[in-house]
Amino acid sequence: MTSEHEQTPDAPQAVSRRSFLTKAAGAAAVGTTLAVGIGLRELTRPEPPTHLVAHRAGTIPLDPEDRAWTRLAKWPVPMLLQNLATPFAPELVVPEISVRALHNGDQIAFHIEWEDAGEDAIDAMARFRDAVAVQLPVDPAANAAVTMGATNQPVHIMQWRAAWQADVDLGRRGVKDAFPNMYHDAPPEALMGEEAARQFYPAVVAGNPMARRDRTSPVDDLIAVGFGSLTTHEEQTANGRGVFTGKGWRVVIITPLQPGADKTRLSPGITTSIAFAVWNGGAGNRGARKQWANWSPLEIET
Amino acid sequence: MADVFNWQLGRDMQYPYQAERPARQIAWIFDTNKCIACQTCTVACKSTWTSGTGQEYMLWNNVETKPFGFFPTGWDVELLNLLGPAKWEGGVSTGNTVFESAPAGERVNGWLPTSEHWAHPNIGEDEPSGPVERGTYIDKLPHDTWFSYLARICNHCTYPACLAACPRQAIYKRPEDGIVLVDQERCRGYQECVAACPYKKVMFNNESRVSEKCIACFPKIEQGIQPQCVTSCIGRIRIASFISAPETVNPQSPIDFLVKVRKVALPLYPQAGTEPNVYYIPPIHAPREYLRQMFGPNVDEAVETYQQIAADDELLGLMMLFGSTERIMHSFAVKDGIATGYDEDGTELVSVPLREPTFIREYFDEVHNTYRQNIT
Ligand code: SF4
Ligand code: SF4
Repeated sequence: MTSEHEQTPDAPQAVSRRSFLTKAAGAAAVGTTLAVGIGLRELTRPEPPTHLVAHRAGTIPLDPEDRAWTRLAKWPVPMLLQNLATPFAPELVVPEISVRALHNGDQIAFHIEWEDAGEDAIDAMARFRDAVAVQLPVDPAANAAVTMGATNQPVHIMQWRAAWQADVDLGRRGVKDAFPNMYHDAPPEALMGEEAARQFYPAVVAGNPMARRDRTSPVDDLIAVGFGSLTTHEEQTANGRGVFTGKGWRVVIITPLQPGADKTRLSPGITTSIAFAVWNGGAGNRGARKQWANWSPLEIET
Repeated sequence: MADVFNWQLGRDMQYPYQAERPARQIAWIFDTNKCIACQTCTVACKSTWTSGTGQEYMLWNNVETKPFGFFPTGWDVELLNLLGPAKWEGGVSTGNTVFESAPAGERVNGWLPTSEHWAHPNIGEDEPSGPVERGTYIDKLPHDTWFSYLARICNHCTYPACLAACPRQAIYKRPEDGIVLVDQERCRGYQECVAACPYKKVMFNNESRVSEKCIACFPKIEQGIQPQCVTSCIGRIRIASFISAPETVNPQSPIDFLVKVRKVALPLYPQAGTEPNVYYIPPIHAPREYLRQMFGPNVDEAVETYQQIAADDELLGLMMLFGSTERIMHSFAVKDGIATGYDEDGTELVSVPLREPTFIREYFDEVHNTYRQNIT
């Protein structure tokens, strides 16, 4: 753990947990004469991970069901209600996510898993999509505010959305998918062709990523300097894949370790911070109505 | 939260941002008494702005029948349920606005309509307030059994609830004319604005996945021309021009004259607190109790003034100017039986007589030896 982390007020759990473990180990050594059996059993068990480690691997599978992922130990991350900035999430619907991480010297990937009774992959009126996001400080050694960064403390966010996954897997989803029986007597596309019809979609013309029709990645690279400042990065480098298992989601988010200007700058051997957010669309989660996690340390194996 | 002055409430109120009135504010007057619910305005708006895929049920302009018509379904019933009955004391609203009554963790006290709410654009059309019993005939005003039309667009509110609710400030109010717009580049489709707008005039585009709303035909307004819903209005019920700041009254301005001088035009559900900028001349034959609920405590005065219009040349002259020019009328004057509208530079746009000359012919046409069907 870097000294920066020990000074980070936002990461007290990880720090105190580690010092607690060190003290506990000392106490156990002192106590061996009193409780030899118990002490031995405790010591021979593999120590549970104390923080998230991105293990080095040759290749990183994009498929979240790949054994290269599922055989890794999960790092549980308790989620909190977003109730710092309005509007709040009314109810904690995703209390925990589990994370695994791999890197290959070039790219780093996060495998995120959570329980969700229903798949929400449609983005339509009063219907919201499931999503998950990873947050990294742009400067891996900085104490960026966990609240989506702050002025001079930019963060790099990579968000995966179930609706974007559906766009990638099935082709751009639209009104026909949300409302299969919708009747439109004269859609502009039919009257004048796709290109001329673009003018009917101001968000498309404005280049809004929500309206993108040619999506090849279900993950967007974003930068933020505080709540409400989230902005899509001009250069998209992240990718990923999410699968609904029937019981919940398994999502892989992958990014180059050095994805380019204004984004995170990672390298093997460092420890930085990572934070998460997760949305359950069926519960009305979107935007600020989310579950979020405080920073935890992320160690990138050499 | 900041303290801002809302003149329609007659008091300061709480709003998430400091008051910053635009240099000038676009405003509309709709005379509900003249609306025939022909929906020409709805079609003019729809064919201009919302004929794309994903906008099938998006009507920036709609005309609904009161009391049983609404779009989206029940929007006003839900609003009144959220806010409770309006409370007014001496012209001051003592109830809580959508901002002041926001539950903990919310910016605005709102509700999010579902697709079902948006699925019946003209529900309740021409449905009267009750069954017309056998033998019922109209022998008194207001009528026992009634309906009236309410044309609705975004109010380009002074304190927009849509703007207040957006956690990423993707909605803005233009400082030059007060038009409220959703930034089509920044919106991330959270629909917080849809939930917040008391009038339900922000809508979600199912294809673009962002919110969209009435843009007040800003490309027209920028050229000094009134919006499509105004210039297309068959009933000539509408006018769009600029309203002065609350402390200023310009009696030559058509909007100021109707809102502040004659006070015949009133905001819709002002107790919500957004200071809407569409002003309605109430339907004079609808029950007052219902009208007070819709337009606040000044309804009686407004209706009575309007009923005296035949003796009020200035008011009559201005009403005759409605629908007489495409251009934005900045000022008007009435003289010698003629009403004249002027543009911003004082150049005459149009002149109309207060009373059209009428000629009444004899019932019997002696030349053709027949009775006439039409004698005026
Ligand atoms: S009417 Fe609704 S959408 Fe229009 S400005 Fe007011 S709050 Fe916003
Ligand atoms: S065009 Fe005019 S008269 Fe016709 S429905 Fe619209 S507002 Fe009413």
